[in-house]
Amino acid sequence: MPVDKRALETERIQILEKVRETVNYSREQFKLLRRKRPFVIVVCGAFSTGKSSLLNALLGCHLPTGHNPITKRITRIEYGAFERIVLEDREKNREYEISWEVAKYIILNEWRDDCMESLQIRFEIPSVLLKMGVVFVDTPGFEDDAEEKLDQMTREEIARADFCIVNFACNHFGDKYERAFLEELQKLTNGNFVMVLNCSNYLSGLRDLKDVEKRADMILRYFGNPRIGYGKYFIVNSEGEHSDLDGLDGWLEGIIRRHAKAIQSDVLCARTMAAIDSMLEEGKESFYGSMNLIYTIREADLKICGMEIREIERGNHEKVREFHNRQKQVLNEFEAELLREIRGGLSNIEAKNFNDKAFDAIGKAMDAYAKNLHKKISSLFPETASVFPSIGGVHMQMTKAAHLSRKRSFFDIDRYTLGAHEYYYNDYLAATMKDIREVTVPGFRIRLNQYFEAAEEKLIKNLCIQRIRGQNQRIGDCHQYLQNLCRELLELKKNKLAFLSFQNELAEN
Amino acid sequence: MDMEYSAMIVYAWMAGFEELNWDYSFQEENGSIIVTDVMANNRLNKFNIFVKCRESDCIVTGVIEQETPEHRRDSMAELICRINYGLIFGSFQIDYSDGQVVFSYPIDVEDGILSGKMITNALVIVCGGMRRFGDAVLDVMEGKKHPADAYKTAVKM
Repeated sequence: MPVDKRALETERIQILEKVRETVNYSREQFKLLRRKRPFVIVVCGAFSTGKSSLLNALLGCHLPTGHNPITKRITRIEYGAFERIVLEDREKNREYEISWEVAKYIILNEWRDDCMESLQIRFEIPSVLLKMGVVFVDTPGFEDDAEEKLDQMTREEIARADFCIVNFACNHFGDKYERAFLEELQKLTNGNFVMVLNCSNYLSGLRDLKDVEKRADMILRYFGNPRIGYGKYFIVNSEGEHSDLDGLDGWLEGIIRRHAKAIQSDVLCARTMAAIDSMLEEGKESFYGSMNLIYTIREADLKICGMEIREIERGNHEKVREFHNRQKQVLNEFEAELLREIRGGLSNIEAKNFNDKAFDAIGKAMDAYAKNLHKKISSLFPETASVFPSIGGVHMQMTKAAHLSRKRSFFDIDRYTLGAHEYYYNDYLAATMKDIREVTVPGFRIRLNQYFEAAEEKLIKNLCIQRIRGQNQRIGDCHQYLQNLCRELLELKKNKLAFLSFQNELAEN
Repeated sequence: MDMEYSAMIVYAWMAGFEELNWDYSFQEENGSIIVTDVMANNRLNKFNIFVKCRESDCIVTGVIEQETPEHRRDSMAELICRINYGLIFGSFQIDYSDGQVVFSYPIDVEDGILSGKMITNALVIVCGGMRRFGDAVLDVMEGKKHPADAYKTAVKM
């Protein structure tokens, strides 16, 4: 099966980065465990279920509410010595005090402008509950946004929360989306949340109330934890002046007084452990994926290499075919070219001491020809570069004996006048060329063939080596990635153990 | 501090143990993974497994908790010699200083990867060795049998 190398590379880099991020995140979270920080309670739930009015009833603040208004912006409610509303610009690190009308305008309108994202509204009120170091966060309702941007904002706040109040409408709650959300919340907060069934004023009577209670007992009993209690919920009416919180305020105050620190640590541990677990799972998949990739490469390598070698043997490999063509061309042209070069060298030699001079000239011409040919072949097929440094010189050494035995009878100028062989020695240049054609050129051809055979062998070997090197490189990359990934995953496991032991400590205390 | 062991080998072992649902503990400082209380299904009852991970190999060791008394260590050495003679994978070893008997199986992972199959095989071999010869080791340790008899009984089983 073909493997998309580039996609795999990107995927591996992304996963490694994600694991590293999770390692850093878990380290930071562990540092946070020991630090004192405000207890953040996020109020969340479906849209138009009375989250803002619940906060108004609980804290006595004045978040914009009504039948139609729907919160579009995250709003924080903190303790302040006197009541005021502050607009925070987190990007510029500035604060502006604003009027209620301006705050309402900003909270109830959905701003598409990106610059508005850095703005956050903060209500400061002198509440006893808030003075205990609690910060409430009002969020936009779920399913109130086609682009799911508000959902995302709310989820981000939940991911930072220490405790959640999940708001449902009393008359209709518990659909599959709400249950899925509760399950997600159970994991994220380790059950540190309470459910509020709001708008009890819409129930027509006691019978309806009992029905709601029965339904709530059935649906919500799995959510929570031993500290908060399982299936803990309040049926409240947060609307208007005659609000009824069913003891939620008192219960919340009690929980904060007794368990705030424990809940903070518990939620932080649970959230970080969830992140670590999901990353460990993803890392494990990537680990096995990369191991399988190594197997695949090796298997494919064997197959491809085998095929390639067979192709080379058949002479079907492109590069080898090209080499054969070049070889054929060189062999066709070689005799004419070599003879031309030798004749050129010989024509300038004087008759005196012709033999010795001719012998040198032939050697030089052959050397030059061989070097030139080797240069050409090496530039065309660099894999063959180190075959032989020279062909001609070696050939001359081989055939020197033959030349020496024949040169006296052919080239000796001193015998030119002897008469008996006058006809034969009439043209010593022609005689030399005849000798070269009959002895030197065939000998050189044999040597040339040997050169080409060795070059071809070298070429094939190098092609295979290149191929194997490429695959080894890929396997090496995989190994390197696996080493890095495993190192980070071990670190992540170590951090998980630290969180686990902290949780155990917490449980013991 | 640089690790003296391969993170990949350690992680492969951890993942392997997790796949098998075995509880383990990891000693980060020396790259050892320890599994305690592995069932032996013989008189040994339980034994421990140590996996010592290094740069390019790892050694899986099954450790018998009981130690051989000093006066029976020679007999134990004889039994171990008899057992090891027929073994293809792994070997029994005795520490003469404290009389501890272990079954050791090394895995070479140089230039390769430690697959799940290799891990399972190693565990099967170590557990198999312990289960097959555990009784013989205990018999000699307790002086109940002569090494030759103990070996014959174990081989016949």
